Amino acid sequence: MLRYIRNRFIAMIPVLVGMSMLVFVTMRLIPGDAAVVFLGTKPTPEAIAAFREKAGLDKPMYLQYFDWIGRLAKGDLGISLTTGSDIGTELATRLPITAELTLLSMLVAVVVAVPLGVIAAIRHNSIVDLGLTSLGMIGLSLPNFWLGTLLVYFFAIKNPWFPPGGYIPFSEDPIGNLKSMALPALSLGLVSASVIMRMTRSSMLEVVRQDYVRTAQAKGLGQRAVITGHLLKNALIPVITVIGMEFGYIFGGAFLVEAVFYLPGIATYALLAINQRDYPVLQTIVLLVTLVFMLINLLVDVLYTYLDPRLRIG
Amino acid sequence: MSRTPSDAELIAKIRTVAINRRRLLQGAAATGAIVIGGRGAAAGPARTRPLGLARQGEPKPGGTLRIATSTDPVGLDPMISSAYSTAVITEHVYGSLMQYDKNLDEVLPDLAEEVEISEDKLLYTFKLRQGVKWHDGQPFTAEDVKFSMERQKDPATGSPNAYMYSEVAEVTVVDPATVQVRLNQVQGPFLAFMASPWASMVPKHVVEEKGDLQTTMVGTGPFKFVSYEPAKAVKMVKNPDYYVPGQPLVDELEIQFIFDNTSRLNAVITKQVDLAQVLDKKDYRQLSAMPGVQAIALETGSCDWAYISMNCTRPPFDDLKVRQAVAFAKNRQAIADNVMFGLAIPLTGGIVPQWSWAYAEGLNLYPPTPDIEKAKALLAEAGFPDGFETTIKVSPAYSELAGQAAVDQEALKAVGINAQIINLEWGTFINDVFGNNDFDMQVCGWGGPFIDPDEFLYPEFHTDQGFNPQLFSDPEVDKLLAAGRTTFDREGRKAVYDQVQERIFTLAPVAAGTNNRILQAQQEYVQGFTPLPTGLMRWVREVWLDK
Repeated sequence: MLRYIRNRFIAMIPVLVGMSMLVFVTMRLIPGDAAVVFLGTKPTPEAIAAFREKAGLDKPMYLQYFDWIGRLAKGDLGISLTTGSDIGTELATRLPITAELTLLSMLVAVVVAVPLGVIAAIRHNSIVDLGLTSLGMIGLSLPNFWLGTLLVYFFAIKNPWFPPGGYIPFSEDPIGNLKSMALPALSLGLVSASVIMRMTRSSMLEVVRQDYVRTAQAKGLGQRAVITGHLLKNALIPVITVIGMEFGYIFGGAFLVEAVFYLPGIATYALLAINQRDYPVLQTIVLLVTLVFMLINLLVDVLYTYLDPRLRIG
Repeated sequence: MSRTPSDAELIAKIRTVAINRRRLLQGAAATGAIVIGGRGAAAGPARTRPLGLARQGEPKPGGTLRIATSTDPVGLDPMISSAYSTAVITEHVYGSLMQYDKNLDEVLPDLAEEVEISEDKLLYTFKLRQGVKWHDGQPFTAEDVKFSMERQKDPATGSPNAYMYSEVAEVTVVDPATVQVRLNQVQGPFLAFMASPWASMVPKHVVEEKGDLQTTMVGTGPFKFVSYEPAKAVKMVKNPDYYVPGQPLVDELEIQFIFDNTSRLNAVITKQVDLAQVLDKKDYRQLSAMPGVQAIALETGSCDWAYISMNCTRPPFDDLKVRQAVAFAKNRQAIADNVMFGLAIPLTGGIVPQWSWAYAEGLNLYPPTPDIEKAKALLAEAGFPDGFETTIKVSPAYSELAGQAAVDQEALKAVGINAQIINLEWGTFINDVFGNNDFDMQVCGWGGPFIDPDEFLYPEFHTDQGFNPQLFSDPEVDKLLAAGRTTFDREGRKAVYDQVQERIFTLAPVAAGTNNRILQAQQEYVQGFTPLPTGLMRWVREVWLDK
């Protein structure tokens, strides 16, 4: 198992290198010049030249790339073009916020979706099933930023139960922190919940027809024991895959939801970097997101082996 | 809440008073040296009544003022960045030698206590305010002034605003409290430039130690810098040593960056912030009807104006008659009503705004609604009786611009010009239009904390300026624009700008659209706030919270 994980880590390196090149080139293909954005409405040619030199933008592109990669390899994420602050430090304060948002959203999604999916499968073709699948269909069709706006309207403006945005650190005020995270986590989580619920339902229905389920029922096991011990464990494998993929969607959805709720996470930082053409910040964030995706994939693969011993490797 | 008629009357009165004072100064100009400020004059800002909003009452000091704005500063060094979003922050931390009064009419002393201008208008002697300290406790001296001016003028600094010092020949420290600036030639707007937040005085000792001021701020202004968290907020605290006694009134100032317009509006509605900038015009009605919140949109407009510009080197727009036809066809009223939700003033003459002393009052070249007959006749004279096909480049990054392009397209169709709209990403748009002058027509806006008429006209309509993408070139306009700079007295400059505006907009390199009113909002308990046409919030130091 450890060897498997190690090999997977090694396999990540070429992907990351390829990704870094792609990101680097893409950044430079974005139309618009950092110098123009940076220097505002009246840049003189001298000012532009001075800025380019300072930001290293005057060097050939391949040199810029190797400079960047060389520093990354040493753990130096570089400094922001516009603020001059250390990107590593900035990310360190922001990653926990996005991570909290993603995990809470995932929690909302799983806690809502899996039980409802199971219920829908057990009550297959009933009115409950129809209601739940319809609800899932609606959830699936809602863009998360729109759901977020609706939630703000009903639960922050009409009924001021939650703040409409902003972030309160957990260490300062745990209750306030959860309150400030509630609406963003719901708007991200509920959309994913629809996807996961549908998957749970169909996967359960698939498994329910298997022989071993009939055997379990035949040997006199109670319904609860059949569901939790036999059905769910086997039905969860495709669900885990979907959850892993939803992780990615939620991480991506954070780009919109963090803006709606002005949470100072990675996504807001990336949006700022896009607006200001802050290449070093943006390329670091994109690479970071790639890394997170790969780690989640790995985690999902490891989870499979836990759920299905047949998938275990040496 | 916009201004009521009684406020308008009051402002008219203030203007009369200001004009009388101006006459006084001009009288002095005729006889010799001029002194601005000094012991005779009432010191500083409290002279004119603020525009519009302030309610009377005993100010309650203390508390935290939270302001929401739309985006982060582009670096914190007031000399290196000329982004509006940087000035929104730095104006509270730094001071300049001069400052504008609350009507953006007269230039008053700020860090200079008095300025004496020699008879030939070439030598400015600034007497500095005594006892002013940098936020780190070091004294503010004439050396800092010399250093600041020379730093900004130096091309190596890369300041986009170095032009403000273009006529400065020499800066001399006479004594620790006196600086003399010698100009190469008379520069009418020199003191106006010195009042800009872009002409902030910076501490020599800090710049020499750190290289630049991009990540920290040490100024002499009403607030001291505490922290900057990108995409979140800048925090500041009251400077207890600020030279205006008793100001600022609040203890802390927090400027939050909320990118999304609706989220910023929600923050106002739910009282998460006390003041908000850069709100969406479509939300004006909702905000105005909301109890406990005041919507602020000055009726005299702002510094922002929008236009459709034509490439003067490209047929058919190299023909004056075609350009004039476009200017007659443009539906300014429809843009003001539908795209700007009523928060705009159709520009039928010049572009220098109503609140400026250089506003060309009686200049009416084009109607607010299209004059189709006139436009068609002009097109026929130019040899296009059946119109022609062309393109309009615009960036939908700003919905207001995209909306205007759509209205313009319709208006042009009515006179036979079939324009295809080309939507471009903002960066590409800037590159195509301002970089390569590659367009037939383009819709864009122009704004910033401009106050002097020179800042509105020179960069866009002088032949060799980077912000003249339409490649407009007229020797007479160039001459007049230069004269606007080298004329000293205001009456003389006003005459020049009246003349140049009439000429520019008759030649119509752009068809001006609207001057757009900026929408801000404050909670009812916010007292003493003075909104400015620039959209900046310089007078936050007088704000107090009645709660």
